[in-house]
Amino acid sequence: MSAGPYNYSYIFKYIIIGDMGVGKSCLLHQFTEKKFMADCPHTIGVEFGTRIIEVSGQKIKLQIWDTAGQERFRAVTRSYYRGAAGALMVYDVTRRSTYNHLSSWLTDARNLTNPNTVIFLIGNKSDLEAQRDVPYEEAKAFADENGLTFLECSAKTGENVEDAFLETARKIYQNIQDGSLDLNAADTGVQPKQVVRPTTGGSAAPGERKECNC
Amino acid sequence: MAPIEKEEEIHAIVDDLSVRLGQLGDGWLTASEKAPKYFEFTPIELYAFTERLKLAEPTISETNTSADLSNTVDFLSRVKNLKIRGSRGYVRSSNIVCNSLSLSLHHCKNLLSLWVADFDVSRIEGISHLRKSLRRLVIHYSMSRIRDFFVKEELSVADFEDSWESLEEADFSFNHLEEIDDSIRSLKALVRLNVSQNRLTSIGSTLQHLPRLSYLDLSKNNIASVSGWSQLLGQISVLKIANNSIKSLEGIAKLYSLEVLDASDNQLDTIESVIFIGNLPCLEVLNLKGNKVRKVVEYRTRILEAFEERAGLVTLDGQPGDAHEKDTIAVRLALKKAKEEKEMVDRERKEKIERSVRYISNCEGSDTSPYGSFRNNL
Ligand SMILES: Nc1nc2c(ncn2[C@@H]2O[C@H](COP(=O)(O)OP(=O)(O)OP(=O)(O)O)[C@@H](O)[C@H]2O)c(=O)[nH]1
Ligand SMILES: [Mg+2]
Repeated sequence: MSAGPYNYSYIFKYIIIGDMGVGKSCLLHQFTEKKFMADCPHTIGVEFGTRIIEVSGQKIKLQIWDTAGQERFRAVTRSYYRGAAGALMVYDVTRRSTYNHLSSWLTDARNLTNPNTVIFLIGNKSDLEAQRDVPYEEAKAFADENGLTFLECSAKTGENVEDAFLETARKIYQNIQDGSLDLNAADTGVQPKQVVRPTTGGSAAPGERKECNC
Repeated sequence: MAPIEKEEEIHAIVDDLSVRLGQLGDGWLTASEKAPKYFEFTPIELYAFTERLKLAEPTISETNTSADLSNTVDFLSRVKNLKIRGSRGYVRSSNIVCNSLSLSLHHCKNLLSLWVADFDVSRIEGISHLRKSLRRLVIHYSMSRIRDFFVKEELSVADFEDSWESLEEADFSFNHLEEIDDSIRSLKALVRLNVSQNRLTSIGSTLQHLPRLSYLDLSKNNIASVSGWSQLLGQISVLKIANNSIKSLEGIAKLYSLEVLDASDNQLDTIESVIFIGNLPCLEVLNLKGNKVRKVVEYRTRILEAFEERAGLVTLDGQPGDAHEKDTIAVRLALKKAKEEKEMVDRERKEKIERSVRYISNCEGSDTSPYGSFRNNL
């Protein structure tokens, strides 16, 4: 059981937030499937994805919640902030309004996550240079002011997508290493892999009936 | 039935799942990579999970930090073979009535096989992701119309036109189907369809739109006629129509792709009602057990004889023709051939005579010739 691809040391939980249509679901899809989804429908509630990555020789499973940008789902999506180790906050470089809303997203993120949550700013759709509406320097300044790490990405070409997810994980891992993230605290969004003692034969192990041999 | 109690129950069920799947889910999924198996959930578990996702609450339980909803979503988003087994009536002493539950498979993005038993399929939602991945669908005791599974309000018109691009096998046996409705047209990749043990009286006209369908099991239905099936079934190689009330096989006389035909336990009473299929060039297995035609004198040789020189390649009722049967058929075919040859020679001779008569009459001048006027009258 400890062999195979699911042999990892930690689970990190992420959420992806930002206005509707900025490309949150496409970023997730690009990261987990390495494909661009051109005709992605609006997210209803939440979507979910996982991938196993490696940071400093440690395997880490990312559990990623992709939230709906539409206002009507705000109550539900807000509830997913808690227990996130990383928050990817996304705007669309071709739509200034999505950038202007960042301060309100950031307020939510700061209020609803724990102090150690790594917040990463992504300016998506960097492939659409001709339609650019937000200069890189401006967003970079905003990120610096607020202590956020920042990258421009393209879910379409895949540019920087991998880096954004991995860099966030590196920061979280660093926080574990230097002790600023307490693994015993609740809601850190980091779970050390549970060690399961092999279930002794005969006893009704929980979940046994979940398996079925037909 | 107070909503609070129901919500408590939803939490209890999902927390329990999340704890167990957090501990064991990865191990199970890894093991099932090597030896594929179904993982079984009850409708109430999947219903509770579906409802839990709608609640505006953190993914981690207040009371139990290892009960993280992410574990359940994680498992469901990776599981390949899923079984949903309901039961009739009430679930435990629950506040939740099983039959009224709706559940969503929206997060099951990697399903290869889905098996549903004893749960009304019209209550299964969120199936649009399954269109890409699903290869095998088994539904028993759970539907009275095929469209109840495939046609959902949530789907847009464009979705309907999208086909189930991977679904190769559908087993809808043991249901209450009365027809094979139009919704099956979207199963463009379907190779095997089992609709045995239903209430079908005909096959409708939709199966001809399934270009890859080659295996069709219609056993134990109420079908009385196969009339027109050669046109309605494209490339079927295995056809099972056992346990119906079919009186004649004429309708499949031109189903040229047919290799295996099980027509046992029908109302095929005479040799004539069967031998239409003698022309099928690929037929190798024919089962007529449980039909009255088997009581007819020389039943086996007369049926096999219909296949003429291919008679030796056909297995009838589980047995190929034995040496004696083959001899008899060979003799009969030889006699038949001799007879045909004689007829041909006779015919040729007659034509030759006629030609010379015509020649003579033409030489004599048509008006005066008794033969000529005879011919003109024809
Ligand atoms: N050119 C380009 N288009 C993109 C990119 N990322 C996303 N899109 C397009 O932008 C649209 C919206 O993308 P989604 O990923 O659905 O946006 P979302 O943020 O998940 O939206 P909600 O679910 O409504 O919150 C889609 O039509 C995508 O094809 C990108 O990097 N480049
Ligand atoms: Mg989305």
